[in-house]
Amino acid sequence: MDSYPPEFILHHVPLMVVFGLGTVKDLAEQSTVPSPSSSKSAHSRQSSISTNSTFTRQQISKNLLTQLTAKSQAGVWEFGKSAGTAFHVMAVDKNFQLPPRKPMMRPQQPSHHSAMNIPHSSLSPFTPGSPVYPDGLIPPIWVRKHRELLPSVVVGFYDLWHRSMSGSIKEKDESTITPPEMLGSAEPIEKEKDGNLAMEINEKRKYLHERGIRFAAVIILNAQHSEDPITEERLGYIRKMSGLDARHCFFALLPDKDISEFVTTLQKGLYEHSLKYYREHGNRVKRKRNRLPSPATAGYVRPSSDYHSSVPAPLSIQGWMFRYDYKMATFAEFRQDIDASIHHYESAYNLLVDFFAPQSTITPGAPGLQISSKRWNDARILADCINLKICKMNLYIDAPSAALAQLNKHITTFKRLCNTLEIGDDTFEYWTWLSNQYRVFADILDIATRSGFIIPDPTTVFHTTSSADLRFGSSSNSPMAGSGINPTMVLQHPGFYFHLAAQCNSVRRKKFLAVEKIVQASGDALKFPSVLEAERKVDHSALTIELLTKSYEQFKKYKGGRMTLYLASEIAGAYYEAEKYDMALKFYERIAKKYRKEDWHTILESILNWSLKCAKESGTWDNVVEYLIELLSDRFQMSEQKRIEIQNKLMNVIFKTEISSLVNFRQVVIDMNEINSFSTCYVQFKEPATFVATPTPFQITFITPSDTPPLPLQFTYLQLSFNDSNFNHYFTHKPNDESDDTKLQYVNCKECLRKDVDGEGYIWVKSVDLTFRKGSTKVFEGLLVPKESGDLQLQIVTLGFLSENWKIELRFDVNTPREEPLKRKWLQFETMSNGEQVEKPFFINLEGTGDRASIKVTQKQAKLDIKVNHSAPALLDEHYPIQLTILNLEPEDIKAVLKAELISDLQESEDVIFFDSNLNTTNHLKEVDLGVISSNESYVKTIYIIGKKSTNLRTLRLTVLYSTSSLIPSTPTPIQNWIEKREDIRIPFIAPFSVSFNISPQGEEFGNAREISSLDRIELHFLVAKIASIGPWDICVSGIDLSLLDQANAQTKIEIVSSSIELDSESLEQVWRQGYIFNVNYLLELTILNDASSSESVDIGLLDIKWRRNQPFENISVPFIETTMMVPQLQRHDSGLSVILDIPPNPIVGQIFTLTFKIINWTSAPVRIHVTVEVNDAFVFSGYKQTYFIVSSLSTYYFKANCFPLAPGKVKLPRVKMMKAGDNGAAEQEVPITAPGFKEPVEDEWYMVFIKPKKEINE
Amino acid sequence: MSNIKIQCIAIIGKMNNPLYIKNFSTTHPDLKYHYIAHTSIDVIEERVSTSPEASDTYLGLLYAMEDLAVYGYLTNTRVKFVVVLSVPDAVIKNSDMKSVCNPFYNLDGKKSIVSKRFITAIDAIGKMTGEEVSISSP
Repeated sequence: MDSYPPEFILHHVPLMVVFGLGTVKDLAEQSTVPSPSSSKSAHSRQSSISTNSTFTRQQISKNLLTQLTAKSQAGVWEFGKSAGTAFHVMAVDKNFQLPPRKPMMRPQQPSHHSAMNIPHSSLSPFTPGSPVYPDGLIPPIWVRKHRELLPSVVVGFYDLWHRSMSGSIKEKDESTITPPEMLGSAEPIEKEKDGNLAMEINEKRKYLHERGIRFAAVIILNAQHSEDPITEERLGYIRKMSGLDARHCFFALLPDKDISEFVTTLQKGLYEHSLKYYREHGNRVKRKRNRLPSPATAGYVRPSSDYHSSVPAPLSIQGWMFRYDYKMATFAEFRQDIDASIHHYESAYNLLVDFFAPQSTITPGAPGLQISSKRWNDARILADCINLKICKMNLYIDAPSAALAQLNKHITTFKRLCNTLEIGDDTFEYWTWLSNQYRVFADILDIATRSGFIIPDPTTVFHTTSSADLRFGSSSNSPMAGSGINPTMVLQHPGFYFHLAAQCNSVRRKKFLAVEKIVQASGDALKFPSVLEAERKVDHSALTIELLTKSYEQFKKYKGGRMTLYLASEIAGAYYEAEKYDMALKFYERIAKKYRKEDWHTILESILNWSLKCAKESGTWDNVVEYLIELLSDRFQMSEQKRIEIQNKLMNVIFKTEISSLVNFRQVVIDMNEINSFSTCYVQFKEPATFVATPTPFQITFITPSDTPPLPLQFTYLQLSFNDSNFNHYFTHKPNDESDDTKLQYVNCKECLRKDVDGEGYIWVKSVDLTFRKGSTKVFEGLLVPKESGDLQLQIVTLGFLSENWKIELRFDVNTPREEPLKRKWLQFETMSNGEQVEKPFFINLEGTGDRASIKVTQKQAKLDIKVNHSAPALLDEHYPIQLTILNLEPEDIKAVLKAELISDLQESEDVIFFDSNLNTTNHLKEVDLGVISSNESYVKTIYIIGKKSTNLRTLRLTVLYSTSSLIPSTPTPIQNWIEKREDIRIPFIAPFSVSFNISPQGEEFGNAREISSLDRIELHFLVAKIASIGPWDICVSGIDLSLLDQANAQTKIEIVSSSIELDSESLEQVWRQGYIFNVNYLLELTILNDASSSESVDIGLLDIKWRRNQPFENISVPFIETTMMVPQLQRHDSGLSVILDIPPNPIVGQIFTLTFKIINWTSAPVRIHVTVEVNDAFVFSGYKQTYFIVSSLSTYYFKANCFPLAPGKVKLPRVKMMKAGDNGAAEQEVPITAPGFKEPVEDEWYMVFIKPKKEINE
Repeated sequence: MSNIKIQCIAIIGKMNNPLYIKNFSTTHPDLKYHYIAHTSIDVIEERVSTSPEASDTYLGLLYAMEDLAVYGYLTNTRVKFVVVLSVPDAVIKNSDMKSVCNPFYNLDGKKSIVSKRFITAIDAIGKMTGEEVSISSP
């Protein structure tokens, strides 16, 4: 678009000229320089800026100018119909001059034959020196004259003089002195100033009026004026004097007025005048046109042939008609009469087109323009511009079909013209032009859509716009029968036109290259050297790419995702032509995915072939390999020859070192799931699950289509990658001797060796046939033995080529779900009854669909039975035997190991578990080797457990680990991954005995003969142990023994004086049944050595019971075991005093007896004792009821009381209370009294005696 | 009418994959029509998304490119019929297009289509759909 004169393509709006505001240049300057403008004309006024006004004059001017010019940015796409009151505003100097008018406004004689003699505009073809003299049509300068020089409206901005400006005026010595104090009415000086101003305005008005231009004056008032009452009067005066129309042409701008509102009002007011101005111009031109004679009737008047060579003929009548039409169209455009403008432009266009024909049809006989002459070129530019205008204006008025029709008309017209003149579609110039037309149209459309124009939806288009006015259109449409649309009349978004432009440009390049070829081949002197030279400088590819990119962006905007792919492929093609292979490759790679995904194989094939070329050119051999491999796919329909070619190319790249640029060893990984593969890979594990240590077969099936690979394709290796790398397989190619042409091939991949392969680590290796032929099915069957439970998954199957330069991996990710899962199949050989396999394999169907690339590995269910035999409940401490029976149900012999554990709730268990005589002191057994157990045999063993202390429930956990002995070659055996069988047995424990102890002190006889050393104290205690058998089982007790403990301190000594059982007896050998109670009595002598303050509690010892269960287990003899019980401690009350009451035996009624209290003071201080005797009915008591005595230290005192029994029977003795006086006045303390042989009284009880009656009852 | 020629008939599957593309043109390679058919999916998708309840599955003119006009028809099984015409400049009647786009379309009028091209095209469509139905229908 930029190649055309802007005057011809910009949209016209009325021109308004303003002065008195500075120029646009000033505006820019003022914004930076705050000092007053240097403009001479505005000087006096500008110096009169009122200092106290809200805005300075400069600011007001600036604001005004900004507001006025805001909308006047002339563009290609203007406001169109909705232009409203938009003006193109030019700010000029006050003393501006209009361009000189032609001497005669209206030619008196309209005859064109005599027109030479009358004065004309300087731009007229009549005027020598004019750019169009003598036969040109319309120069751009003519349009510019109206766009920029000849305004329709002029607005002058003036200031009203004010007294406050006088100071500065004085300095200017421009006026006489005015007394400043004179106020109230229009003073002479003001009148004079106003008069001058009015005159100035009037002059301007008159000057412009002569040219038909409307003048408006704006008086800018300042703050003082608005307060001044005479301002109104002064303004009225000025207006009258200047002769301006008050309503539209004379304005006063108050300082506080909203400037933008004012500007709108001003422009609105003047707009009508402006339109009138252009209408008058239009009418004037119209009149002129009407005066022209008809070209058809006037005929072609060729001046004499003498003129033929040198002087061109003056402009023909047809030319004048064109000029007038064009002018009318322009003026209509200025006044925004778009419909009229289109009409005139179309008329002009039709006239213009006729010039190009060799023979005019409008002016019969007139020759057309000479090809490639200046006028011809001018006219072509003009035609293009008018076309553009018409298109654009049709878009303004929402006639998209008309716009498109105009474009089509323009193109078909000139195509026809050019072809008849032999400068048509064989020349690059034509294609340049055509490309340009589409591009300009697309640009316009793009601008239009961005300004709000909406591309019509083709489904709703019913263009009634008849194409009958297309003079060169080939449409012969009769009145439309049925609904329908003409596809060529449907306006589409700019992307399409950019695309067309790009295509034309591409043709242009081809044409140009063809010309170049001819020129260079012939060495011919160039026909049009300059044109060709210029064309050589054009970067056609870059231009094509630019246009395609524009189109691409448009399609992107209009959501044409797939179209953008197409464009991208074209862009890539252009890059290829420009030899920018990397870029081309980038584009191809980007778009290939979509076509692959949507299965557009024809397109993909083309893209791959192009990519291949690019990759070869740019030396990216990795890509070359990838493209070649994809091209092997049968999805691309091509001849076998072509396929063979591709395969050979591939083999050459890989195995022949023909590529010089390839220096390094290259490794390429191709994901076959991402591209179209020449073969499909299926994977099946036969079963969904398997067991550890069980051989598990799997099959990998490759199916090749019937036409590819065209030649047998040998891979170097086949690799299987599992999620557990221990199972990875690596098969190398081993040529098969006999050429195997069968359609179904079975490849045995079992019996692999485990080897260290370079770069792969230890993997399973075998050599098999890896030749792939077309139309065949190749099944690789392998076998693996899982070692542990979990999921085992075959992840990737890789076919590889390995050569000197390359390692190429074709990876099949076998876990990607397929679009159409097939039924699972398994290749099998028929097995004959004699076990031999028949040669011919066949597929059987397995359950389910799809692939099974993973398998669940679990431990085998143990085929083992553990039985236990025991007699619960168990007794604490006993050796509790449990008989285990382990039955091997496996069909094979097994090797087994036993683990056992006794679990109880106790934190620190003292339980013991053992096996045979093994002395184990813990509650678990570790891995006892049970040896080999034959199939269906059992192993019987007894284990013992001993539960100690707690009677809680115990759980015996038995675990047997085993493995078939054939798989375990040697001992010691690894337990890992053996089959495990576990059995939990709950065993209740109860205590065998309940033992209760009773200890009571034993009295000593007074006057005991035993000699004791002076201070040793001897006490006798009686211990009764009551042993009850509470278990459900009979118990055999072999012995009971009290073992005395060593005393904690050396002050006490304890000895067994006598016992109820023989101390020395070897065995007791008693059988106790449940509930049996056995008492054992011991008389213990406690000696307290040399002591006054011995401890209160004394350890006695432990009671051991040797026992075992009475009824023996089958064939098992259980040893006697000892259950030990702690005898409670002996509790002594030691207060330093011992009071022993001696009660005489057998008291009889009526016979007095004496109670003797033996009081021993063990302490080293005398003790005073108060005695109280309470008498009761049974006795008569003699002596003091209350008395006291003192017991000296370390001495004995006897206190006696005589009692006379009154009644027989069991009676209470008189209560004697002995209170020991507290030390140092402390409270008294009762002294306990013991009576050996009597039960010690508790609390208020007292010793009871039986009083015999006086006489025997029987007497 | 004489200038109207069916250049290509394309049938595109539900997943936008080509089912059948027949090139009647003598000037353009198959590839071009593959591209055109593929790009027409965009327009069909947009048409359907903007007016999904449109009763008529004849989509009319999809777009025009160069001297080719692309018409579309969408079956209710989402199979797309695309017809590419070469039209220098003429009004294409919807009824004519409908009959081409959809072989099962009944012409309202009695007027029969005389153009040999039309007949061969329809024949081709008829033959072809016979094959395709067995493949595309589930």
